[in-house]
Order: sequence, then C-alpha cells, then structure tokens
Amino acid sequence: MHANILLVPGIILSGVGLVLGLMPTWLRRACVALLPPLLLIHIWTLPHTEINILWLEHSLTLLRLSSSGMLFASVFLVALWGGGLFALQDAAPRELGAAFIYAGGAIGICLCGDWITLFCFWELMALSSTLIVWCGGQPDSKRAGLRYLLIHLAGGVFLLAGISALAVTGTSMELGPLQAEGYAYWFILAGILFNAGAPPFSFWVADAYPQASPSGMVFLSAFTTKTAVFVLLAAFAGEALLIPLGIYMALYGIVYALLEHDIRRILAYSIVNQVGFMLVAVGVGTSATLNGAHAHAAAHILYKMTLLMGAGTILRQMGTTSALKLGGELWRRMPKTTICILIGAAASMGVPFTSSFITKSVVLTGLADADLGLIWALMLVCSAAVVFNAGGRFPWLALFAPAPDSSAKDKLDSNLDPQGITLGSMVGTALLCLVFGWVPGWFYQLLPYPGAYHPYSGGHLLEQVQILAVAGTMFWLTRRYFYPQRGITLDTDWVLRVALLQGWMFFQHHLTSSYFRFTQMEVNSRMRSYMLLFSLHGPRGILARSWYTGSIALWVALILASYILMYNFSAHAPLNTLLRFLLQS
Amino acid sequence: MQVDNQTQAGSKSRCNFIIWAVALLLVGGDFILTPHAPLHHLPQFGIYMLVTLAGVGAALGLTLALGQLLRRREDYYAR
Repeated sequence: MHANILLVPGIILSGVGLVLGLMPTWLRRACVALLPPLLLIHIWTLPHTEINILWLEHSLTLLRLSSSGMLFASVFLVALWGGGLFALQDAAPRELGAAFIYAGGAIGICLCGDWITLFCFWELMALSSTLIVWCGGQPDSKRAGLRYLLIHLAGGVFLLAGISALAVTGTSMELGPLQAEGYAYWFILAGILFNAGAPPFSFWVADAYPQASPSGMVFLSAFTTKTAVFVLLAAFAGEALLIPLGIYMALYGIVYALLEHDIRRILAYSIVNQVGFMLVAVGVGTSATLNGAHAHAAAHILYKMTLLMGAGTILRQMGTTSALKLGGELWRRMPKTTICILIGAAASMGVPFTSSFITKSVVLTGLADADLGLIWALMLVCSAAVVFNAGGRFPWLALFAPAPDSSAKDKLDSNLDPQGITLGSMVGTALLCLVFGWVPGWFYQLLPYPGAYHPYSGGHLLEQVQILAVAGTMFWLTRRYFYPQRGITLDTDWVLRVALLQGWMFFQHHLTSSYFRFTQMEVNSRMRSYMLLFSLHGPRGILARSWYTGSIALWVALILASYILMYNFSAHAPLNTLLRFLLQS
Repeated sequence: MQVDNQTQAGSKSRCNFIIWAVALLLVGGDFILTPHAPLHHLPQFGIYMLVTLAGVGAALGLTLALGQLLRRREDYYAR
C-alpha cells in the first residue's frame, strides 16, 4: 500500500520540487515542460480508488478523487505548466523548485480525503510560497515575505487547533461538510479564511504578491486563495457568514485597486475582489452558486495568470510596475503582449465569448434564482466594477496612458515583446480564456453539481452589454479622478504595523523605566543601610568607641535586670512566686 | 481660442449624443430580447444599467472619500 504513495500527484510534485534546483538545466527545463501535462493525464486516468496510510491510529487518505477536486487540481496543473514555462526565462532554480512544492501542496489538498493530510499540505504551501516571495528580488521582498509567513502561520495555528478539536471530540477526520457546532468548526473556518484573504487580513495579498518576481506572482495568484476557496466549497458550503465577508472583500478590492498606482498591486487587489465574489457564491450554497464558484475560480486562475504574465513582461522590460513611470503608449512596442493582456482583461470583465462571461453568469443567475435581491445587486456591481481595476484601468495605465517621464520613452525604440516559450505560455493562457468562453459546454461538464446553463441567450448577452457599456462609460468619464498618485493607502495592516508596534514600544518603554526605577530604589535603600551600619560600626561609629569599665558593668547590670523582668512577665515564674511569698509573710 | 472652445463644445455634445443613443438602444433591446426581470420585484427594462450606474457610482464616491481619509506618504511605514 505504501508504494502507492508515489501515485499521489501532490507528493510527486513536492518531491520533484525538492530536487529541481539541483538538476542540470536541461533536466529542469524538461521537468517544467513535461511533468505538469503528464500529471494532468495521470489524474484523469487514475482509477477511482483511495490511497490510505495508517499514522498514529489515524487513517490518512492521501488520494481521493472527487469531481470538485479534479477540476481544481487540473486547473492548478495548467497554472503550474503555464507559470513554469513563463518562469524559465529568468526565474532562479530555487524559485522553480519552491513553485513545484507549492503546486504540489495545492494539488495535494484538492485530492486528499482527510483533515490531517490537508493540514500537512497546507503548511507545505505556506512555507514554499514564502520562499517564492523571498526569491522576488524586490526591495521589500524579505520583509513582505516575513509578514506573509506570519499571517499564514497564524492561519495554520487556527487550522491545527480546529483539527485537534475534531480529533479530541471524536468527530470524523474525513474531509467533507462540517457541522456548524463546537469550536472546531469556527477554528477551521478562521484558518481557511486567513488564506482566502478575508477581512481583517485582506491586506496580505497586495502586500506580499507584488514583491515576488514576475513569474513568482503568477504562481502565487493561482494557488493560495483558490485552495482556500476549494476547502470552503468542500466543508463550508452554505455558511451564511461567508456572504458579508465576501461582499466586504469584493468592495475592498474595488476601492483599494482604484487608489493604487502599481499595476501589479492593482491586480493583487483584483484577486481579493474576485475571491470575495466566490465567497458569496459559497455562502449562498445553492447548487447553481456552488457550480458558479467552481467555474469562476477556474476561469479566474486563467485570466489572472494572463494579466500577471503581461504585467511581469512589463516589469522585466521596463524595470518598474509603477504607473507613475510607465505608459508612453507601450502597446506600440509590445503588440503581442498587448493582445494577450486585452484578452485577459476582457475575460476579467466578463466580455461575451470569454471565460468569465460564462462563469459570472452562473453565479448571478444562481443569486437571482435564490431571490437574494440585495446580494445579487451588490455582486452585479462588483462584477461591473472590474472595469475599474483589472479590466480597464490596468491595461490603460500599463499600455495606453501617456508617458510621464523620459526614462520610459527612451526604452520605446525597440520591440519589447517576449520571445519563444515565454510568449507561448502567455498566448496559451490567453487562448484558454477564449476557448472556455467559446465552448462553455466543455467547461460546464466538469462542474460537480448537475445543472443546465445557457449563457448565450439574447437576453443575457444584452444584460452583459448593458453592464459593460455603463461601467466602461463611467470609467472613461471619471478617469481623471483616479489618475495614479504618489503615496499609499492605509489598510488594516496599520493595526499590526503601527498601532500594535507603537503600543508594544510604549509598554516596553514603561516596563523598562519601571524596572530602572525599582532597581534605583533598591540600590538607594541598600546604600542607606550600609551608611547606617557604617555610622554605628565604622571607625568612628558609636559601637566602635572604647568604653569605661564602670559604664560597661552598669550596662551589663541593666541588661541582666531587663532580661529577668522580661522572663518573669512572660513565664509568670519565680519572681512572681517570690513576691507573693514576701507579701503573704 | 474661441475656435478651440467651439471644437471642444462640439465634441462634448457629440459624445453626450452617442452615450444617450447607446443607452436608449440598450434599453430598447430589452423590450425585444429580455424574457423577464432578473428578480420578480424589479423592473424588466434597463435594470442592469440602473443597478450598475447606482452601484458603481456609490463605489466611486466611497473610493474618493476613503482616498481623502487614508492616503499617506510612500515612506509612511519606513519612518
């Protein structure tokens, strides 16, 4: 049975990832190019059996194939393939190795069958994704990676607490819908929500992801938040708390992306926005919205990868992703990248005949069918507002806005499009966005719940055109209010980075000063004691002087008399008896 | 200068005309293509445009307000 462990895709990928950095270049390239598609074939040809091992009296299910897990694992493998090919140009071998371990963790979670195995893969993801951030080579990569690690380790602690509570209470460790009772449920939910970027920790996505390398951010965008969505779908479908959290995340993504000038941070906020959309769908919990969440997660991975590959290409060529330094009609010098970015942007907005059009419609129709008017309206707005981040504002700032400084213009003399396999990976993911949009039937048949969806009805096409026309017009008319500006926008991380830090420094200052005051007091009192002793016993002290013999005899007599008196009063002994005898006689 | 102003005014009125024409076209299209309202208590025609207009407008207003409130220098955390 243990030999079957080598059939588990997550373990295969993690094992290869461990040695990928040590391989010769040709073998590493071969692994990156061939292993993900081979594993894709592998998981679709595996027999529907489980692989279990026994560990500390727990049966760990390392492999269990479910339609939901297969869909997520397949898209993750496509993401690893595309991202790996894109990374071959300039990624460090250790970054590629970390990416394989990271993908192995994500795929391991999708295909495992118990909470303990899930936790092991979960932590593997946290550590390997931190390595990817640290490999970023950006000025703040190390510190951002540390903040990222702290957040994810905190989430891991909550998850472990919940899983331990499951074990202690004798609840089944099988990965599946949890009953909303007991603190195990809430601890596990909190642990998962850390990774989903839910409030109040939504900031970590935009804090850490843009500090990764051009290819690193492609990997990061695909796995962590979507794995969290997968676990929420598996265990917390229909949890009403996810609806307000998702709405907050969707609005948060819109607002913060609009105030941002860095194009990769805009895309990071857009990830939070879209994951919020998925959380609402999971929280509503009807079969239509759950199918929509599955479909939209898959579509989102693909179009966000396309956009991030475009942003990564710009970073590689221009050395910056700040919209304050970019522009200068960059589209003229990178036409192929521009086309890919525009396809990704169209897919993100839900333009007809792209992937997101067929997935968002499933979610919105599901919300309308469940008669959730307010939530439907809010999600409609969040869907439309993508025009203001990944859909419209990102390509406009990156490619079409005029150049603000001469350094950007100087680089516009040559063709800046990537070549060969790097371009191929970007074109491949862009084409997948179109294929899913053109042939939705292929995509819908992968969904776990039964349902018939017909996105290309005249009415639905018109609805989407209405949404896009209004949002696009509003974007164009209001764009001058949202020109990129220097500065940052405070987020909830202010509490951790300023309020708690200053509070700790205040506490530390007062603790230290109290300690010093106490020490000073102790020293002073000790000194005073020494002075007193010195005044009595010192060379001129009263007890050190020479005394007359008569005076000594007097003092001795006095001391003896006082001793006798004290003895008699305390013990009622002989003197009392003597006095009584004298008085009686 | 006067010619420039006239040209600008002309292009602005053309732009307004196009926006209104497209909006009317889309609402008109609803009469033909939309089978029913998305929710039973909502109007059937132009509802997607109205919701988008109101919602995105509110989101933009919120963004401008929060931008005024929360904007800081780039070296805020470094100081």
